[in-house]
Amino acid sequence: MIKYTLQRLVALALTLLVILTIAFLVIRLMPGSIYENTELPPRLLETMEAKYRLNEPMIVQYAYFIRDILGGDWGTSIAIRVNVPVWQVLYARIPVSLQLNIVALAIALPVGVLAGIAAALFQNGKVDHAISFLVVVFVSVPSFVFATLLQYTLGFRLGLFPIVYRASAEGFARYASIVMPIAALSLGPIARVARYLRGELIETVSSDFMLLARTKGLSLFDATLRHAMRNSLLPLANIIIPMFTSILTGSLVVERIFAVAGVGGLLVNSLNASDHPLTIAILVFYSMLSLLTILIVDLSYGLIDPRVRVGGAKNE
Amino acid sequence: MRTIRNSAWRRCAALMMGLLVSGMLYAAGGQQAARPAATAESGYGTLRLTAGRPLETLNPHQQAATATADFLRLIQGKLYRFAPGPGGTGYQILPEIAAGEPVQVDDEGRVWQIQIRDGLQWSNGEPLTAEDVLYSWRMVMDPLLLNHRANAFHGSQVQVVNALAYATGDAAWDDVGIRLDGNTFELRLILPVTNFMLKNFLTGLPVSVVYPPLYEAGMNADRTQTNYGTSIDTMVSSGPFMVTNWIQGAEYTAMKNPYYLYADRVSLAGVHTRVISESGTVMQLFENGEIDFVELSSADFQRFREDPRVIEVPGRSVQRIVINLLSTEKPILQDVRFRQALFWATDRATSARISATIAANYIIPTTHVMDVTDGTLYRNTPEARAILTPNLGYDPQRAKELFDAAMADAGLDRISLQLAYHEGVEERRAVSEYLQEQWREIFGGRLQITLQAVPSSQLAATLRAYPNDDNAFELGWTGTGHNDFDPVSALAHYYSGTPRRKGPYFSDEYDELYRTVLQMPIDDTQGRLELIARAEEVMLRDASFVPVNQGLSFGLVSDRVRFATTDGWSIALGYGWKWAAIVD
Repeated sequence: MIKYTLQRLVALALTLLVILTIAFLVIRLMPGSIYENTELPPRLLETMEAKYRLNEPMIVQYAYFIRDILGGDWGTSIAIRVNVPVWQVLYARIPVSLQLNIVALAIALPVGVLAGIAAALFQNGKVDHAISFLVVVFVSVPSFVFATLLQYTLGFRLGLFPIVYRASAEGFARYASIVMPIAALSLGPIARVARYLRGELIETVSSDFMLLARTKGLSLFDATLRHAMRNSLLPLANIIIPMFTSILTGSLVVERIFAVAGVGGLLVNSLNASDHPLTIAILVFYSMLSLLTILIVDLSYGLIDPRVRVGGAKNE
Repeated sequence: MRTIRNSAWRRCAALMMGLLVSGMLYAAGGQQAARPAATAESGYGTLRLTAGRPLETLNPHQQAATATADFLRLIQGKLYRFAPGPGGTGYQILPEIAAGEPVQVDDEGRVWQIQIRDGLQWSNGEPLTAEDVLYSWRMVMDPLLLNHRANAFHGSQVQVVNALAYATGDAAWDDVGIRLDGNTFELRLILPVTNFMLKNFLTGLPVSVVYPPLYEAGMNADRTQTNYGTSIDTMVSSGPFMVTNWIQGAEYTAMKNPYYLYADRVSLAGVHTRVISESGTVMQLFENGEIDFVELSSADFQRFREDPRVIEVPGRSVQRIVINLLSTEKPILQDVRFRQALFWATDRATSARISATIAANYIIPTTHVMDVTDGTLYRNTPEARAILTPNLGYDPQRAKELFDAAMADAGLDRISLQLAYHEGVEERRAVSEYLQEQWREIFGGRLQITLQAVPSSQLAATLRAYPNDDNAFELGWTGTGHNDFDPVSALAHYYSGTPRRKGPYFSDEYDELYRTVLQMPIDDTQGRLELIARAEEVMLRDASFVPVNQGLSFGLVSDRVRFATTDGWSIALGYGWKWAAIVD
């Protein structure tokens, strides 16, 4: 397991290097100057670009880029937060995005699990049909549509919640302002978990060991909770961890709608402003998140179910 | 009822609770502590605004975005400042850090003296001196820092001797035409300027003042970067307001500065700005009474067009389609008849109606002031009116004749061209689609336009790429803002000697007119007017670009806001928020 983990970490580092290289090339090859000031005289522009070594050949720029990164210097933002180290810019935004996504996931999982169980237990009944209908709606409609609807109805029309996120509010006012963004982000994951679990449970419930459990006197509810659920957890883990990444990605638009100062808008803003160091840092952040997610999912198989523990077959 | 023995369930439940609680703790915690307001007793009411982009800095030497400039104008002290005129009409330029009017030393207007006022204070109560001004000016063009605004003293109008050479490291500071003797500055300029031009220049943000102790404290070891203005703790205000709160990417607040020279003219207690990029969200906040101003989208304007609170604001540039007359792949673009055909085939009235803009068959926008003494606008002069083409330059028959003649000489039956427009600008897309269809109809389907949406910065770069790539583009939208108080500045962009132009234009006649107007006595308003009009006429004749419309925006202001001027919006003051009042 340790060897496998180390192998995966090396592969992760190599993948990250490839991503860094591609990001560097794509961003550097984009036309235009990093300076928006159209009145800059050419001589001054040359001098200013030389400050960031943009006058050097691409390969030399790349060498400097890798050297700086290996030395822990990712550079400072040149347009979005001028002269602020890029990771500092990200650190200021990440907690805000995490707050939304952690709470959204914490709500989505139990609600989705309960809905999935209910749908499976009452298969083809009214409850199942109602849940399945909602699942189809929540899965097929993007989160930003829900965000807009919630904002307009609950926020603007009914005045139940603040229309936008209130960064400076404290206590209840702040909680109230994150209700709608969290709701918009939760609906999709709730539906995905419910749909997945329903399918798994229905398949498990009809298996032989469940029949045995029922003949021993367990009710359908107890048998499902105590036996079927356990078997369904492994495939569920397959979607729960990546779901965190997808919620973080999906929150880009939701953050924009509710004016949440998270990581979401940063990437688009930095690209538009030709803030190359910040753009690369954001790309690395998202890449790292995805790579780590994949790693955790793979490793978690072994933790959840010893039967699939990596290398187990060799040791037997 | 049996208890659930499965410990996995308990672990799951604990995990959920943990996630929920940690998220809530994040939610309850502040992102950045707000500095307590020091002057809550001063002024009345808070003006509530929104900005589409977050602040990128509080350092005026590095500012680039419009939203940042709007905020910095509230908090930065300047030598001179535009203010409402007496009785709330028009405008005046108040000496702020300067003690009075600039004094012309030579006959031509190249050497000026400006005295700095005694007794000024920063918002922290420390004295603001002439040495602070000198430090600020030296730092903005420092050759190591190379700030975004390093060209501050080498603009289109005011060019200080050796300022550019100093910024590029080709001259020493002692060679720069800025001298401080006691409390008096002497500025030596390359081009002659008027008293108004100099004061107008000194109202600019890049030449406003920075607080030297913090600027120095924020320097890195090799003095190539300072963290001045990266947070509210790394800068000090000197303008009508001072920063009290800045939550990165979310909101920022400025409260009235009690140490400001003209504090008695400032009515507001503060200005609070929230960063919201979604226009629909901003509209809901306005209708909910949570903000005081919204810039209307085209769709919202239709809903509010009869509302007396709507303020019409003309754009500061003419949107035009640049034609790449260097194209070797489409050599017909070099034929002036083909280019003129596009000019005459453009129905500007309909285009303007589609995009809620002003139809423009001209190059210099309506905002340019020709005579600052009486506020005469260039476009209102007889000379400027005389060069305008009839029917807003729309004549399909003439367009077809020119097109047919050019196509026949080129031996072409059909031609397709690509028109690049700004991605995300709905009005530009709508007009592009309209012209695509209109030109196809007028030219009998022989001109096929394909549209390409390009991000703004990429589009600008593409249009500027013609010196290195003849076929960098075929047709592309652009618009360039200029100094409203100098129509000559609008001509500069088309002069062949101007670097980084958006699209090619070459005309010896035009270049000669431009050079001549620059050399004319600066007080010869009529002579300059005639030359400017002639130069614009030459540009329109050569048709290297097709002017289509001048931007127009519509602001909706809440009833609780009272403007300091009767106009609401003006060229000199904009909305003049810093002078406005709240009347709850």
